[in-house]
Amino acid sequence: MLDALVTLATSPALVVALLAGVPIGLLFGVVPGLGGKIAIIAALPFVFALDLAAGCVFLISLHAVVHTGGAVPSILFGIPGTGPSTAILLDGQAFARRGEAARALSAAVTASAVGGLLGAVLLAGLIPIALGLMKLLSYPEIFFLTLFGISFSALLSQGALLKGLVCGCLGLLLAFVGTDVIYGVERFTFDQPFLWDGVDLVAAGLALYAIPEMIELARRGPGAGVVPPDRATARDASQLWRGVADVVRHRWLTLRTSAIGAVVGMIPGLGGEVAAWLCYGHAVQTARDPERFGKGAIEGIIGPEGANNSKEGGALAPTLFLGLPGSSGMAILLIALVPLGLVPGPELATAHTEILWLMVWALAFSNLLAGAALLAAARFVHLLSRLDATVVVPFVYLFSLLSIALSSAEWRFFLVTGGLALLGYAFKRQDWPRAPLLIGLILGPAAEDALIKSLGIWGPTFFLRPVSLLLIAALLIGLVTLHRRLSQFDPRRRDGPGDAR
Amino acid sequence: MRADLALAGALLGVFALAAWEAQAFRWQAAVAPLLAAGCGAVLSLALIVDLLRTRAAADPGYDRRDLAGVAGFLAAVGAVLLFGFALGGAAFVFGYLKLVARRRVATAALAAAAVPVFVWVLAEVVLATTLFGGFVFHAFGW
Repeated sequence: MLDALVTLATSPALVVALLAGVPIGLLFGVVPGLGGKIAIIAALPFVFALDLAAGCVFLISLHAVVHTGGAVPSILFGIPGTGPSTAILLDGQAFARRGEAARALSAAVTASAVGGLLGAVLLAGLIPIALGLMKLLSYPEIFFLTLFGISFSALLSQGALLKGLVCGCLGLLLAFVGTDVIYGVERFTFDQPFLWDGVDLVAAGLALYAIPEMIELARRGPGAGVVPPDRATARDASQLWRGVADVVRHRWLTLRTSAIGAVVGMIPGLGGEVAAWLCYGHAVQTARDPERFGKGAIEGIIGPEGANNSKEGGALAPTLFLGLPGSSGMAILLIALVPLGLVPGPELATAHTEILWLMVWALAFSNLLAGAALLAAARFVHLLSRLDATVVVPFVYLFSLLSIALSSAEWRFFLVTGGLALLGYAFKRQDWPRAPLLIGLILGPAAEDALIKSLGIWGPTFFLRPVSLLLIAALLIGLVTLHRRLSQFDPRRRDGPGDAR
Repeated sequence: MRADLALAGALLGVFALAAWEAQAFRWQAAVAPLLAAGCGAVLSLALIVDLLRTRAAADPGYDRRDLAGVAGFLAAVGAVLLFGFALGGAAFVFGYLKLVARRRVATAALAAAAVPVFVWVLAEVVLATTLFGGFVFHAFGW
């Protein structure tokens, strides 16, 4: 653990990766219409040039602070920078209207930093437990855990569980395209040699997420997400300190919501929006005068913002320890880790323990840095919110194609990307979830490997083992319970750039 | 026709075809695809029944803006396939910024000029690799 800290502090490459990741992540959070997934996709061509440690530090730093930046346009202009930032919209805007935007922004940023730190602490606490548990897992457990991940991700599609499960099956099917590793059987390749190695994960990830988001942005036309001219700015230095003092005053709320966010993040399928709104509700419930909420209550900003960033630490736990990305953002992060040499799955934790600790430190420091940077730049940062996101579209297309070319070295994957992008866009427009598809694609090979080995060792009755039965029961009970609980939330969660889908 | 029904129907077709093709594989290679395709087909069928039973949700409706959005992406793929990342990418960025994002010529030209420089630095200097050069240049042997 401390070795990783020393490595991070003494390696110039890692320090540069951390310092580069934070402002890029903030920038993509501040500009409405972008968000964490687009940030990773835009940075992907550069990740190919980094070694494993630097790449991981860079990606974690970048991804961890996007929601911190997302508070800026929400408070100043009433435009959520990321999906979870919608929870602070009403109270943030109320502060901005009465000329206290800097105070609200400062409180949001400080709460985010505290939340991010707590998320990192939770992740650090889970590493020894996870490493112990990994040794107990056998092939049937791994197989059921992968099913667990896909099924839970299907829950992301609020009110459309069937659609989510269908998409998960499609993702699994896509994962089986290519030559079977053990027996050399060509599956669904249409006699095309470039498909022998399967569907390139980077190409599929970009096609299903980045490109449909950009097509949608282009559809809305120039000016989409552009904020009106100067309405409220964050120029008052004394207000910045008042915001910090607000967080200190409401320290227990900050800690409670950060803890809630971290735990919610650990549950695959629950996104940042759920964490943010849950903590908003908690702040309302625990306030002495709940009627202030929506009209400018600082707790309405501190609660969701604490959860926003702590959720990232929690969400990293299933992603890194089990290879189960519970949200689309984590799936994209996992895909970005693949070119660095990290193989998604339970082996990741045991094979790269040092890297895990590096990620924990990067998570903690990036949150602190982002908080300090936004407070220092609060006077100017509102200008970034006025960037027209449409301008970014051609560059994201090019970065995506560049990443695909670097990842697969095969031009025909541009055509596969085109086809999958059209499918992704149709899913997006029809409000079908794309996360289960991607998670199925990621987990497919691990699921098949575990299934074949389980069948080979235990035969077709492997699922009757007590542990397997326990896991199946947990899967079914968890699915039903979570589905019921999620039904109580807003049934029309949007598929925005920063949300869980 | 309802787009969600069409999508579910198309996926049912994909799953059915995949299940049919998977039967030809040896069992170790077929079991996982068969499970995925079988479950997918059953779930797609259930989804179709569910969609037919429920009232049609507000269909988002596709219009010319969707077509323009998709065309923008296909233009990027076409430009890169024909002229490679450096020149094709530059031409695409210029065209997109001028025609779609409605930026000034100077702004679009400046952004486009940065593309070959960026591609060269990334590919040649940072990664020391050769990127796809485009079919047109390939045809001329460049």
